[in-house]
Amino acid sequence: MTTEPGTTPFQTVLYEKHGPVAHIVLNRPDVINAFNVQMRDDLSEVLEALRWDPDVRAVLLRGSGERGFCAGADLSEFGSAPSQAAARHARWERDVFGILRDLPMPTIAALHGHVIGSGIELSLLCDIVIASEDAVFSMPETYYGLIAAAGGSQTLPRAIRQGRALDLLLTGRRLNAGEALDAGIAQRVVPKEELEGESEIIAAELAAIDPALARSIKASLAAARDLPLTDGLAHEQRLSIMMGRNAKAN
Amino acid sequence: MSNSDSQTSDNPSVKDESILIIPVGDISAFETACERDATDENVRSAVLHLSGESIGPGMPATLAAVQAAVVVGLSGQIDDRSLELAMAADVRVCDASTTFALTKTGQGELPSDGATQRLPRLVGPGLAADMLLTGRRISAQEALKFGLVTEITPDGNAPERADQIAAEIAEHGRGASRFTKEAVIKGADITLEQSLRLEADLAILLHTDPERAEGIDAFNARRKPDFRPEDD
Repeated sequence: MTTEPGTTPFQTVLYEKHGPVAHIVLNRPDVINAFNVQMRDDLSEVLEALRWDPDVRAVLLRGSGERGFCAGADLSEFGSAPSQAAARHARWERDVFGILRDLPMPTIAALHGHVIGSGIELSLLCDIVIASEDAVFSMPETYYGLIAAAGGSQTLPRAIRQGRALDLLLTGRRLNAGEALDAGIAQRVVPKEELEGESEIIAAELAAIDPALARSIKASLAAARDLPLTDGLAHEQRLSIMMGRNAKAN
Repeated sequence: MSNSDSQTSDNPSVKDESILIIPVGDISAFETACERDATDENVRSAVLHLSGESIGPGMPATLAAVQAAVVVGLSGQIDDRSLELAMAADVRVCDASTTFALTKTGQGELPSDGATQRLPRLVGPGLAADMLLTGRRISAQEALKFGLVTEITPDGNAPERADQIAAEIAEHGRGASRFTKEAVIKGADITLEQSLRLEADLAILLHTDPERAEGIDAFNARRKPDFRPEDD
């Protein structure tokens, strides 16, 4: 890959800014973009940079190669932590999943082919998920004696409710794109050849939203998720008043 | 990756002590079976069949305390406490003609074995209010659409399909299944931020589980994990 202006080379991730839209592409196509430690570090650097970048108004996350968005965690690197305490420290030292979830600008994940394990988990940390018709989804962790560890046991039930989430997590059942749409993992499904164009159109729409407004909507949605209704309504009121004040000042 | 290659043809639940079979007709047999989950380390999943039996008060709470993944096969009319018992399980499959209703409101009674709490968590507040307030009976299709069940079988096949899913889960990591269930259910009661800490701590606690090492070895060797070598 050539390095263009506004582009930084990483081993496992392509990062490019196209106007106000940051494009992040998981880039280990030989292993269907399996998520490894290097990818965590690369993503962490990318996300740390763009979260403070005033030029970035929307983020588009996708996977390179024909076979899929992400085949899950790269298990060939698993089990190498010297101790549980060290593993726990490493988990929170670079909380790439938390940073992605808490980005102030709108995020969209564009999924194709295999969307397995961490692939689903990464997309559930984005605001909007669009999938191509060929996408297949599963959470096979327990089959390998593992549990979801990129938020899936928490984000999945919040996205698709408890019964469906327990089924997917405990059985490893596969969903096709239509089933993922019905369940609520994806919000839109398009033919494969339209995925790139359609996701870029949505990203451009997201980038056109006033950044302060987008940030407030995301903060309100987070409040709706975690706060009692009365507190959430008060939170919305406060944000709305602040937005009005800012509009007057401008 | 539901391992459909597993040998589950001739009702493994009959001979496989790793699958806890939970009878519903007799309350003391039901309780004895549920207790085995906590005391028998061979238990890796649990299954029950429901087709409109009379369910005693407290049975849903007893089932909800089972730590293994519980699969239930449903047929007939799954009403009131039967539905509450089904909702205390983890994976629900039903026959195509199964229907679901909460009829107690019409009799001036409030459900007391979890319906007002588990139904909205499973199907959302709108349908839950509709069913609780009006007693509306819903079809298997509607139950699938709203996530009350996750699979519909041809009539008569739900019990066998539930056995099959329980057998598949019994092939998965024992601690992994239990921790996953705990993470989902306990994580629902706290904020996302706190729940992610719970998930991470359980994931790291699982590092001490030999089955995790076997699973990773199997993945890297492209073979099926074998968590129970002594069985075969």
